[in-house]
Amino acid sequence: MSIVKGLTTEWEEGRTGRIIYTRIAPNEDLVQTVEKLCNDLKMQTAVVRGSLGSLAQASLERSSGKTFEITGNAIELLTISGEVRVDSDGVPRANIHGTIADTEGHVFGGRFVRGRNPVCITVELVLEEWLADAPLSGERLVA
Amino acid sequence: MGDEGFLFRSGFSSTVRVRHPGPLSPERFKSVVSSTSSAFRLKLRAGANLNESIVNELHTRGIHSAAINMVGGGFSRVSFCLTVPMGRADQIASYTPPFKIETPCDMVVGSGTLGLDEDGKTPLFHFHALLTTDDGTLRGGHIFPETAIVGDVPPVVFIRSLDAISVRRRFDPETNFSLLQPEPAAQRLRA
Repeated sequence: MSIVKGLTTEWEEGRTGRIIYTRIAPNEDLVQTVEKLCNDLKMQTAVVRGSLGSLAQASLERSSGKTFEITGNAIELLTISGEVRVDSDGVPRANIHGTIADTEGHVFGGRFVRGRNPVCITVELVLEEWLADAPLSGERLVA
Repeated sequence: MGDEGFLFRSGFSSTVRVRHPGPLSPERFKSVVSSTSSAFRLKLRAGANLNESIVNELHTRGIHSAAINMVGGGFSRVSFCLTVPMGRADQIASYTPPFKIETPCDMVVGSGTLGLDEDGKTPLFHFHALLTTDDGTLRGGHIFPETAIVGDVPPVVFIRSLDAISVRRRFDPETNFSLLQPEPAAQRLRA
């Protein structure tokens, strides 16, 4: 594994594993379903590779914590990307960002709030498992 | 834009639940895993539409299910639609008439699924994208692949084949829509 001395970031080396295609049914939450799926498949880390579909409401948050909700029952999911990692208790946590269009075509973006983005008709999602060889911290890199 | 339909969250409020016409399926998400996948990078040819340049090309090479991500470049023209709620009992939503962008636009990012239609033979490309027009406005929605004409700067396409997964449009009794759904591939589709 190549280590760059003095690197200030955390980085890990790894490879992709399984690839998973999922269809999510109406009223199921986008973020929680991704987490359940990773739990079912015992995936510690995954990349959300792509997704499309519609939401019954969209709840997006900014890094400041400000949350805004777009209603309208038929919200188009335009782009999503993100990752899933297990927390210190081994529970998968999904961090998913993306953009949506409301029923008039106005586009909004942000981080999807857990539990507040129910599917309207369908969501198609592709996850790619990430298999880290060994996580490296920034401190260890400088050694 | 007014504040209608755009609510700032204050304290607890319940999430919306939609009521579809059909019986609730006990399976709330369906996933199929593939432990193998091939990766491809495509640069599209200017002037071709997305059916010609992605769908037909992949199909010819025996790839019938794939996850497709597209970055950059743009289209010389493109049509798309959005979902709109409907007050009908048999289907809760419908699609808008096509929005047509007749002048060149750039693509920020797009992602889609290549699968098969209900007949199990005809390729189907379900693709959503975020676009920008010359004034910097963001547009986007469900792109009609045959209307998306690759522009002078072609998008770059990253493809992962879903080797062990068959993605096929099937009638979904709960929503009364025919939707792309995954199934284990009966056999390895790629030679």
